[in-house]
Amino acid sequence: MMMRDDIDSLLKELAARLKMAGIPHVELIACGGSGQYDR
Amino acid sequence: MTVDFKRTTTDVDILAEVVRDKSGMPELRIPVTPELDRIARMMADTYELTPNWIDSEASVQTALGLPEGVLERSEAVNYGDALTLYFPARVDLLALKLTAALSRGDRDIADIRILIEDKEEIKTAVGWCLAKRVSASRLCEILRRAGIEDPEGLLRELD
Repeated sequence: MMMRDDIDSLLKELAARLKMAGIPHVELIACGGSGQYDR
Repeated sequence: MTVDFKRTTTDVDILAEVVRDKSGMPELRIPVTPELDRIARMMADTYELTPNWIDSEASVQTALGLPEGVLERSEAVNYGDALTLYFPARVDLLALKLTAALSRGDRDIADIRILIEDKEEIKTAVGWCLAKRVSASRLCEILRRAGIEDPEGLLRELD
């Protein structure tokens, strides 16, 4: 089970890998999966 | 009003990719670029994550499309200069979760309970669902299970 900080770190790495792959700026509409919201 | 990921999230659902034309105007595209899937799967292998930690399958939550204006109401978070995630406002998440609950039931009820807070937002989200010609009786059933005492009365207020 990943914590919020883990997800942030992974997304930063994903961004770095996208950049290395030469993919232009990716914009996504996102949310957590089921049972994953909190105020 | 936006909502936050819970502290123990296991994946990120991608609802759509935002593709901009030459003038910068956004269009929403489903599914997302395959390259994103490929890189996310490589990371899953590297870090022993669930393979769909970035879940970019066209979600049941977007089966009826996305509410108009969802992008403008979202909170943008930049991850470096190569990736921006937009987290929809609560009213839009509620509309999407209601949509999802219509087809897959119980697993979305807990989320809907959390998202139900503001009556005007509930009415907006329900109105969006009804505009998509979903079953009013089924919608009432979901709202009741999510804690709305008089969903039929709520729907009457929308008439």
